[in-house]
Amino acid sequence: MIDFKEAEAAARNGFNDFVQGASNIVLEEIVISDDNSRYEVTFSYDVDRTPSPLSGARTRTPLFELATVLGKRKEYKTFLVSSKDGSLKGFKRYKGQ
Amino acid sequence: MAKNKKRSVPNHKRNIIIDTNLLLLLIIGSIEEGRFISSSKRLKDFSIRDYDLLLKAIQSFGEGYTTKYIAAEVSNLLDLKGYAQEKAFEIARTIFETFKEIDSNLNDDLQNPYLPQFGLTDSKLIEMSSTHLIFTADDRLSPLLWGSGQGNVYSLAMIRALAS
Repeated sequence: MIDFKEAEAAARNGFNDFVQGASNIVLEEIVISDDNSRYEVTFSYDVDRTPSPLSGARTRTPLFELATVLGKRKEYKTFLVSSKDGSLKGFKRYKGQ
Repeated sequence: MAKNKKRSVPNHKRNIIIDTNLLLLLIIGSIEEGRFISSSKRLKDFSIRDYDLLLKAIQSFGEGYTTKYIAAEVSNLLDLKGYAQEKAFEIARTIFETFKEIDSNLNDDLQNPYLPQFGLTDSKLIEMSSTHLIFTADDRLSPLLWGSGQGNVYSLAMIRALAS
C-alpha cells in the first residue's frame, strides 16, 4: 500500500498528463477513502485564458483589467489514486469549494 | 448621472454597456473553461468561442457601465446549481464592482416611449445608446439601437464577423 507522499506524486503525474496550461499548482487536500482503497488528491491551479487583443498593445483600461481577471481563474481538480499500487483511477471536478 | 458625450470611433477611450444576455455569457463562460454555457437555458445560442470573442472585444474599450435593471436581470437569470451558481455570483460581483452605475429614476424611465414594446431594461438601453456603445446579442434590439445611437452598437454577429 502506498503512502500519502506517493499518492501525491502519482496524482501530480496524472495532473501533468491531463491538464494543460496550468500554473501555480498547489496541493490542497489528500484524503483516503473509508475502505482505504483509494486516495483523493486535490490540486488548485491558475488557468490563463486571457485572449490576445484584437490589434496590438492596448491601454490598460478598466475593461482590459477585467478581461484579464476573467481570463485568469483558479480551478480545482481531484485525482483518484489506487492506494494499492498508485495507479491513476481518474479525476473529477472538485466539489468541496 | 454618468454620461459620455463622445461619439468618436470605437477605441479604448469608449465606454460600453453590455446587455443582459452577453453579461450572462461573460459570467457563466468564466466558470471552469465555459463548461456551463451549455447548461444555461439562456445561453443556448452561444458557445465558448463566443465567450472568448466577447472577452477579446471588450478589453479594447475603456470602462464598463451598467444599470440597476441589467444587474437585476442578470441576477435573476443566473440559472446554475450549487457550486457553479456560487461561482457565478462571485464573478458577477467582480464584474459589477468594476462597472460604473448609470443613475436611473424609475418614474422617469417609466415615461420612456419604448417601454411598452421593449420593457424597462431595454428601453433604458435604447436611451443610453446615444451616449454609450452597446454590446448586445438581441437581434430584435440591434436595428433600433443602430437608429437611436448612430452606430453605437456592437452585436454578437458583428463580433463573430470581425473574428472570421
